[in-house]
Amino acid sequence: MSISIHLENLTKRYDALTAVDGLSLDVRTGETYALLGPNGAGKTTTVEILEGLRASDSGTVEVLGLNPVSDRTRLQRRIGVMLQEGGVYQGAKAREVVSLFASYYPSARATDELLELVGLADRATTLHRRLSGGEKQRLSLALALVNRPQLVFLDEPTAGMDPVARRTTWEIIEHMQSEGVTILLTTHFMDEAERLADRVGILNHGRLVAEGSPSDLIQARGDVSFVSVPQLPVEELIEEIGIDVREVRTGFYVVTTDTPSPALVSNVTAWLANRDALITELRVGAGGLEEVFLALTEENNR
Amino acid sequence: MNGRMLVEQARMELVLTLRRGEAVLLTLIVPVSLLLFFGATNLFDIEIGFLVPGLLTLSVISSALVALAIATGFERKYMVLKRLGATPLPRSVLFAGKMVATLLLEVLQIVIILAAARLFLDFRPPIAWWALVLAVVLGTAAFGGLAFLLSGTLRAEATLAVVNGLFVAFFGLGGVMFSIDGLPRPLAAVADIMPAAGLSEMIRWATGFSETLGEVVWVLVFWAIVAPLLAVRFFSWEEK
Repeated sequence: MSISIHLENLTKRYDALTAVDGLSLDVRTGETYALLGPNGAGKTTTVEILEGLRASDSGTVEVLGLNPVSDRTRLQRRIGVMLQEGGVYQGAKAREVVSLFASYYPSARATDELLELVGLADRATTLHRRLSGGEKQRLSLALALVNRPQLVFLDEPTAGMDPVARRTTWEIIEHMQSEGVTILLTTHFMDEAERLADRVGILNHGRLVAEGSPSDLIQARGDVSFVSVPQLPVEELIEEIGIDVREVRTGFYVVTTDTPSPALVSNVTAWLANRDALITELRVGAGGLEEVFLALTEENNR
Repeated sequence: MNGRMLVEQARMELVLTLRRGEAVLLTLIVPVSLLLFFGATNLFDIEIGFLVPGLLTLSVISSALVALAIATGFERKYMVLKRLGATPLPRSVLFAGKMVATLLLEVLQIVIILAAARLFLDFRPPIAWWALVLAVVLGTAAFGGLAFLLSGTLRAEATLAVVNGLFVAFFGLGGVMFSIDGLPRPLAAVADIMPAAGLSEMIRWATGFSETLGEVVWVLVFWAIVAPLLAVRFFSWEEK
């Protein structure tokens, strides 16, 4: 199995803040890998180092076998990049921007074919600033595909899109997957990661805290989660059972454990019964990626 | 490959500038309007041989400083510069494209001013073209360097405010409409160390208004070297 991205012990600091802290991961050729993590976890910094936009402080970085800093131009001919936002001349028409970008590469896709692919054929002569948010994102996606890249970086590709535009974008990404393109994407949407990613990596404080296919990650958790009245004094429950408990969303509690037991479930429900707090839902094991994510990234605990 | 990129980049830059109403107003409409107004009315009694080189100076400032800085500042704000950094387009070609587009716009400005002066005011100066070209190139380096220095360090809105302020300042202190010699002493001292005075001096010499070239030209040469160096040193691709 060949590897498109190889990271070993990557570290990047901004003054006192360590944005990426000894990150190691591999992205296999042809797979879609989603980087998840709360804001400030180091997702964008990692992606920008891989794209050659930032230099790392230490560690090994190989993208398509190249060093993003010293082989920058050679690498950039073979990758596609979609930034989180912006990136396009405000006063340029959609078609002008695509054909300008085409001039940067030795061989590029036909402009009109590409506009067709992202569903902007009828907006080809519209100024960028007059496009809707979703249309701007799709134009930005088109620019990432101009050079028929082997590897594409998508930084929150559907942020700010309505449900219809999201679905269109997912279909474009799935089309890329069917062409064998390797994709590294970051997202805040768990449903997006579950639908598109072969593997996900969860980042927290610049470190990888979990990695695997969405279904493996979901199955690996043994947490006991329950829904009850909000703002229970969980400290008392923690004292009682000796295991960490958090209210991850209003009225939604997670007892973090890898080894759930009948006794644990019984202790939890007994404690709730004593407080006269009704359980409306109780589950052992994670029900979805979102619960895995919330359990592993404490900063999201609000 | 780089040649084709340069052509495409310069074309895009020029199209974008010509599409911006305020840039067209400032670079193409204001200078020729001032020429026709002051040339026809004799208000302030400005000699046409003095006025035309002054407005050529103003034209270079409007393109190389104001229009260029505003465009670059907002491209930086909207992360166009950052996005281009993730393509094979070399940074040098990106900036060369901007300079070529600026020079082309200046050629258009010069043609319009000289043609209007000839057609409407019957003014045909003896032009030393090599000297005029040299003056425009030096002026573009000085003001373009300043434009990149400002747009690469300040936020886009601040760049917009500063270059508009500088435009007004150079209009008054650059020997554009009024001779620097007529300014009060402290103002004249400020004017003497700014690049505009050297540029207007050199263009007046190139268009035959003055027979000798004053030492203030060296101030222009200084800015033409120092401003681009400072820009290279301090330019950052993203707003913080």
